[in-house]
Amino acid sequence: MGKTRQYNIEGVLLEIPLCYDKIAEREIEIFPDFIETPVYTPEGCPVLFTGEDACAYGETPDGAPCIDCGSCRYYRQTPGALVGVCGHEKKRRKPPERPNLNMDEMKPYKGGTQG
Amino acid sequence: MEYITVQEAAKKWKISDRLVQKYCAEGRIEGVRKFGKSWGIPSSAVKPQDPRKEKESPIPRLPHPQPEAFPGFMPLMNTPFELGRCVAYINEIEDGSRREIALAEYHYFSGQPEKAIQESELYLTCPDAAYRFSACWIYAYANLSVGQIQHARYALTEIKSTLAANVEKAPYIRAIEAFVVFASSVLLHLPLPEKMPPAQEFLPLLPSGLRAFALYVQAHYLYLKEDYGKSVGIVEATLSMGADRYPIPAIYLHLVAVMDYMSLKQTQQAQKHLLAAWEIARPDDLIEGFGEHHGLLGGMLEAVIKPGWPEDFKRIIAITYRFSAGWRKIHNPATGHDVADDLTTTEFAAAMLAARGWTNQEIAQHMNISSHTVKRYISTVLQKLGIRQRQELKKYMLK
Ligand code: SF4
Repeated sequence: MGKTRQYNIEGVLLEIPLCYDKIAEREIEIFPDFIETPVYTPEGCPVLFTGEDACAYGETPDGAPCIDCGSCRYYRQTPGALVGVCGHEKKRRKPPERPNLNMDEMKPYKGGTQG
Repeated sequence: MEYITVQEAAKKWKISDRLVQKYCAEGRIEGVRKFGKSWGIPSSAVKPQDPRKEKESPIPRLPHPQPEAFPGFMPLMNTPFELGRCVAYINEIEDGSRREIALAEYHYFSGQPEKAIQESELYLTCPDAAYRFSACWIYAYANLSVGQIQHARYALTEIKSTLAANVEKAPYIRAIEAFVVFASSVLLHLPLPEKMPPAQEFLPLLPSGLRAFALYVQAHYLYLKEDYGKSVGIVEATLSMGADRYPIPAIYLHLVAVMDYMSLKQTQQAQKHLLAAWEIARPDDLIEGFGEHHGLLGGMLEAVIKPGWPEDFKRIIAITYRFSAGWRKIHNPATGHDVADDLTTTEFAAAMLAARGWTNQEIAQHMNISSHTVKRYISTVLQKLGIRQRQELKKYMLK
């Protein structure tokens, strides 16, 4: 397993693989496709990349066309990360019957399929 | 091009030999050339209007460009050579300065900057203004391509100081100067000099090929001002008025049309122009413009050239890396940031489109890649630029 970076996104632990970029001479995070493989917070909110195409519910704070989640007023971007959580009610998954909020027992989500 | 003699033209136009000679000397016949002591008239040339009738015209006429006044200025750019015969055309030019400048031009436009530098360097201080300006132009851009910025700056400064000099000059020489300064300022996204004459003053004085290239520069200028409709209007009009006979200006005109149509999200039109440019460029390997414009072509090279001509695509991308590194060193963007220095050309292309409001789906479709790959490029770009949202991309991308 190569290098990874961990994020706690509103209670869900993401482990994002890192890949060395020769041009930039630094590690770059390789995010999974959260549309193909959805990840939800314990509250049932989807975790999404900031540059995800906006869905039909997307709205900007100033009424301008909403292009991506990053510019949507329902999006809560995690500080220091390119991922965040969509807070729109319609996008929420039905909460699990007994949500496990104990962080110590949570298994990390092994993000990505790109090694 | 096929030429006819003065006598043949006189017979064809039903006027005297003397009148044809007069028209030739006054530069009133498009494309006329002097071969030794006699004139060669393009067989397709149109009979000029009778000057007596012209006098009655209420519209004030600008002096007609005199091709013979420009033999040394960017001869290749100003020649309607047959596609695939560019080198043959250069070889037909009599040994001397004109031929050497044409060769330097060819090496520059075909992505061989080292040779272009060597050839143009000899003419940087040439007393003949036309050769000197050509040399400065080629030398500046070729040096940008190899990252020798000081040399490029030197050549550009040389051009600007000549324009600023308060010396009495023939209007045609001033037109060349203005053209060169205008082109170098616009194409390098630098401010126009204060003493810049308006385009309508120098454009009509340029011969057809140079005027076509100057109109490409004008269209590029409008593109940078985000006036895409007007820009593409200039391109279409210039091409329809015969500029497509001049391969070098035609390539650049088509490329700016690709930029405009991509900005207008009219991808089919953009593709049509890209293929038109490619058809003109390919027979003579005039690929430099494709590499230089890569960042503005909105992934069109990836979508069209890469699948069809993978080896040429690789060479074009090598030009892009080479040129953009030098370009960024000389360019001073409003934000003060180095524009996307660490991006690959594909990341740059995807980011350009994202900055213009294209969705991931649209970018994926256009670049023939999956939406997931697009998102991967965008996330990489955001990380490399140290920004959090794609909305912020705009200030880092080229206009
Ligand atoms: S944040 Fe949620 S509501 Fe907003 S565009 Fe993204 S998915 Fe849609």
